Amino acid sequence: MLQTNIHLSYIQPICQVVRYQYQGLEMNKLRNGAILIALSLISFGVMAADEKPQQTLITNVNVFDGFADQLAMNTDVLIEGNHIIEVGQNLSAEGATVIDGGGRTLTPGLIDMHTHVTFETPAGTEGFNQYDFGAAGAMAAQVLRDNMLMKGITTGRDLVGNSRGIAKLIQQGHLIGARLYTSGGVMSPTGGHGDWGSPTDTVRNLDYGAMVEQSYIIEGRDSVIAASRRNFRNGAHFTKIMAGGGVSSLYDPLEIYAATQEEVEAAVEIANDYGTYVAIHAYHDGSYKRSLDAGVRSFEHGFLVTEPTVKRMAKMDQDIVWSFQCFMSVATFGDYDAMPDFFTHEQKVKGVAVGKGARNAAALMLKHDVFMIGGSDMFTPAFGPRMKEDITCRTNMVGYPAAHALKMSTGNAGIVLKWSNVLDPYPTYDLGTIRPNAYADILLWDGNPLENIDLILDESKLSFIMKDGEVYKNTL
Amino acid sequence: MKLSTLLSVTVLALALSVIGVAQAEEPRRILITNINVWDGVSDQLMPNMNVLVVGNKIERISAEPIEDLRPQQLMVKENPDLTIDGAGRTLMPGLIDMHTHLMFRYGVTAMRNDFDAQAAGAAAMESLQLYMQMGYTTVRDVGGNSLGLARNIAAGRLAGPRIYSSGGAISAISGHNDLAMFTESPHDGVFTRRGDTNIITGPIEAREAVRVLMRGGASQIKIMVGGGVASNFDPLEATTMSEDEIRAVVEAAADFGTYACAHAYTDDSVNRVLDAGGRCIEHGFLISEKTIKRMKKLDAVMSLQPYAAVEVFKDPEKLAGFNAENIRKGRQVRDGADNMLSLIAKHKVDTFAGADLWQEGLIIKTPDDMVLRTRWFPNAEVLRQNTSSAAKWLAKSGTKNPYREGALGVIQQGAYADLLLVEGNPLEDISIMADWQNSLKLIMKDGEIFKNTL
Repeated sequence: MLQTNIHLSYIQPICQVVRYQYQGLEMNKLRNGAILIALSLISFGVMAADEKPQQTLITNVNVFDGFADQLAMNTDVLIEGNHIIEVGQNLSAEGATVIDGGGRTLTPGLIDMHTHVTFETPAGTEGFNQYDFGAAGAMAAQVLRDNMLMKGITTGRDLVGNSRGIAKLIQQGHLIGARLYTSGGVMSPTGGHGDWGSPTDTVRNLDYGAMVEQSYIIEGRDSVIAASRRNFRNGAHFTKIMAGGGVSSLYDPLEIYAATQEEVEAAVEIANDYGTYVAIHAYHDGSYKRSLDAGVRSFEHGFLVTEPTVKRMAKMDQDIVWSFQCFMSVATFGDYDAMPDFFTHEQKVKGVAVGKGARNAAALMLKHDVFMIGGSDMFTPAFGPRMKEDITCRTNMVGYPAAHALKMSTGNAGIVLKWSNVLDPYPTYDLGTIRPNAYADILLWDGNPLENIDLILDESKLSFIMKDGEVYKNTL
Repeated sequence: MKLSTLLSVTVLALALSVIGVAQAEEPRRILITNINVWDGVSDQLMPNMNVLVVGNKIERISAEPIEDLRPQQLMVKENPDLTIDGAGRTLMPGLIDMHTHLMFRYGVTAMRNDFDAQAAGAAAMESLQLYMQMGYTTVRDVGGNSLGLARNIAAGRLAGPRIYSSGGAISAISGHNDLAMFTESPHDGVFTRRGDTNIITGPIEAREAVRVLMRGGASQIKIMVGGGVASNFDPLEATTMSEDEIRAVVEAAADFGTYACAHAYTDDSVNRVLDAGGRCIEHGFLISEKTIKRMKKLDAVMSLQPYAAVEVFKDPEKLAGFNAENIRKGRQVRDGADNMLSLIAKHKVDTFAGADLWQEGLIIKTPDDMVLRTRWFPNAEVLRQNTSSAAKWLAKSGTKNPYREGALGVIQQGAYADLLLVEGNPLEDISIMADWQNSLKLIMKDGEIFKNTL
């Protein structure tokens, strides 16, 4: 093999988007004559220092800014380079490329706050019996582009899984796909929700997932600190620890505590030293209480919590956030008979409890106005292409107002991403919002999702996708 | 009785019942009319033809209109059957690049220092998409741990060209695939740990390395016998594997029904490969006529990548990081390549082509390698080097061939439907292949359409 040190600028247009359904389902591609994508050129190399950044003016749009309950009507948005510099009415900018939004709705790019991009294999967490880490990375690249960016999800927060190198590739502009924040490998005690070894493993032999740092088996405070440092060293932006049990995992009943009080506190302590925060996987009052006491900030799942816990969380304003996985709990685990046939009776009962509890928790969280974000937890070829159904689930199945459902995946998400502070891979501007000094991650919709949330599932109504000021889809 | 036996295996089963897809579907039919066909073999186009693709195979090729005899009552709602009017364009087989390194997209140093194996796999997807857009529906990776990617492309979970992966190339210490650092043990480096290279000493370890690769799903084996221009440990003139090591690899590969290709530049190293039973040479830029005649006699094949030698080393003194020794070697290779290619053409040695342009920024030059080869070969022969001649050797992977159900690189009944519809006639003007953004109107792989700008 010849090695050279030549660096040439190159052009890589991609003229086609392909959607895939795997495992024997017919592959489903773009039809004859319909090219949706005009991918702008990506030139690789240093931009001349005195080159004026490109300005783009999107006119004639109704803006959902990521926070407000209503659209700002008849508005213009001015973008310079990769960020928004002005939002207002009747803007003008000499030399800007003008895009007439035609009365469409403009929203921030969507943010999925609970992804697992390195688990994109048909067997989910069992995947590393079939896939090596090169293939897992390749699958993740496909997800970040096809399931996320090209559907309007311009940022993901990966919780669990060694996506550190992949996040770096995105951040350095090597890969076309959604921005990625990552916790790196999750910390789990033996037998916790991050222990994906086999029951026949001998003590202390590492399974493949542990070897490639998909998870770290922690025992006690020191190992938590070591695992966290390892994660931060290699590019994690925050960390995650398993505080409670899981539905589909083998070793941990739903009701148990996983990490001890001391272990959770250690995670928070070392994360604070690095200026960032900890996210927790937990379902019930006890594990939530332990984590609230310890200073954890991001609370995933929580489907069995009761009102006193919710009230406590509400009092903490934006010190903490509840991260809701609507689709996977309410829709998938709604009904005993809808459970997978391979679930045991116990697992089905657990699933039903989660489904029922999720509706209950969701109602309480809204009632008490807890600070909220949403993340789909949807992966594998069966669910990955449907990630936005997590957003519509919030309105359709638990009755959240559409604006609130969208806020959880835009403005609020953008706030939480900044909790990574100095570890933030995108520190310069804001995410999830339409205002000056926000990144130009922008979507244009044919219709108003605040009136009909299901609009966001219709790719033909998503007319324009911009991420970091680059256009990835334009069917205006 | 429940369908629990069918649904019992994965979460996917749940999804299937949720989505509502249960039964197998009729394969899709695509009829392409009104085209001139280059079949991957002959010297001329077949004018005014029609081709019917059913599922992932070419079902029929005919100068007569093909009546689609699908029973009318089986209407498929999603993925309708298509008729494509080729409007007099050229239909040809999808291209095959026989020499790439998918897992090293940003160069050895960056892949060692900056990116883990997940990132290497993710980066490879960018390379694979570009290959597909340029019309390369199959690539052969001759060094790097793309075994998992190859497996998942074949299973349909990853989108991209077919991959024939050698896994990590086999090299001796101080050979061309010894990618450890000066301060590391050659057995201990990053690339050894993630399977991008296999370092062996002696025939026993050589055979073991082949077995590990076969176990991992490699379709063929690559060995590093000779030196390199820019590499740190192996001078250009060196031969870095012994005959018994090479023989062990060749025999072990043959035991599995497949073959081995050797990276070799010089008479010495190429002849040693031939002595050891090897019949596939990559590069060979410095060999003499005598060795070339021997290759012909033994039915050996030369894998061609002139662009990498002639263009990349056009002015070696201008290359970043090249010292005086590298520059001397670069010039030697550039001049030797021209000579070697003339002689290969003259003696009609078996050839196929793989551009060896795998680094970001260079991949896009891959079709330029095809254009450059017309300096030594007629257009049809150049195109065969990237279609039927390449496919002939891919088939020598025997039962390690992941795509054994039909032929590749040809338009024939029963061949895989990897097809390009091109504006213009590459047999007359091959430069249109370098203008792929405009000239490639349709790209089909395995009966699926990846690009259609008709």
